[in-house]
Amino acid sequence: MTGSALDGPVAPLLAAAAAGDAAAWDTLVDRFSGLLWATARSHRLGHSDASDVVQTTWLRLLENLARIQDPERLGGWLATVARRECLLVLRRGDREPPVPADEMLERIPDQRGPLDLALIEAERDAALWACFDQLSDPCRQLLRVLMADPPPAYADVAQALDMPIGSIGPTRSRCLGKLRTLALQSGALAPEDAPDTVAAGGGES
Amino acid sequence: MSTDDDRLESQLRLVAGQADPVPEQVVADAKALFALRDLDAELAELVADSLIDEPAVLTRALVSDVRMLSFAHDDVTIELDIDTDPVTGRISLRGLVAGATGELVLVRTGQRLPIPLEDGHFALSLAVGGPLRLELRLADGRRITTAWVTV
Repeated sequence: MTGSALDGPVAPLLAAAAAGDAAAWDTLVDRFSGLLWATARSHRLGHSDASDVVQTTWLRLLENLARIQDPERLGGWLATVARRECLLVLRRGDREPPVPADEMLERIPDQRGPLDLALIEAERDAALWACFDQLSDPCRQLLRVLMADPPPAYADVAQALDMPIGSIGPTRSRCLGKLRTLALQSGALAPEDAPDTVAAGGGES
Repeated sequence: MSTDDDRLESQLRLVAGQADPVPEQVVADAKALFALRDLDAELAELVADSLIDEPAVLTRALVSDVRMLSFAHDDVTIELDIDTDPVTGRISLRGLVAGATGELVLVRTGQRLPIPLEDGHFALSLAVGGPLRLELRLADGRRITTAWVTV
């Protein structure tokens, strides 16, 4: 998941894909699938519904490859399509129950090596994920999209969640603060990970 | 604070990459879609969708569970009603092609299923799963495809 193609300009890729270049299409898929998956998951869709949303979104782009008005805003366009498809799935009714957090926890490998240190790290990761799931819906939703890999542009996040771009920074900060508090309480974060303000007892409400 | 936030967010991204990664199959499927690109077909756009247009009848829709879609391209319209049965996991498609005659095909990724038309009407039942579109091959060789729909 590294390489300049993942953060370079989108317009040439889009033009190349529209001209029939499959490699350019693949690069677009690599670049934005993380955002689309995170968008679907942030709407609490189950695995197969989320997969359908991502696939439908790519199909929608395929239909409109030559008609994208502003290529550099492709991420926002895709995120908007994905969000609408998510809402349609939700409106259609719960065909598939969302995956509970503890089931996802099992996917975190128990160990990444023979070292105890790796074990502790994995346990902390699992605990952090559990803390994340305890957050309020708006926080969980925003952070889930921000966690996309590669990291999404705020403009794309705004489209994915239909929220003003200006509110993303402050909301992110508040939500990460809440998560940090939860994580410090549960031991998911070591005290040395605490920012000075919290370690000094200042905290934030 | 912002570097602390950035660090925590990066940590979350790593954890999410383990707990809830983009499934490889989803990425592979998306890449494979490029082969489905159909430059020669004309697109019949979705012009009406009961899910989008009639939120007020949501309660009724929950009872009948039929989604009504309309596609249009020039004078050709394709009506498609989709009835999903959550118990059997099957969907029933019924519809009407108007403004043109031809051969109708149901297209899914990796699947093409001819649908018999009777005076423009069609009906079929199939298993739930993945996006689909209808393709109409006209007598003069032109092909019209609907936008993709996820059912």
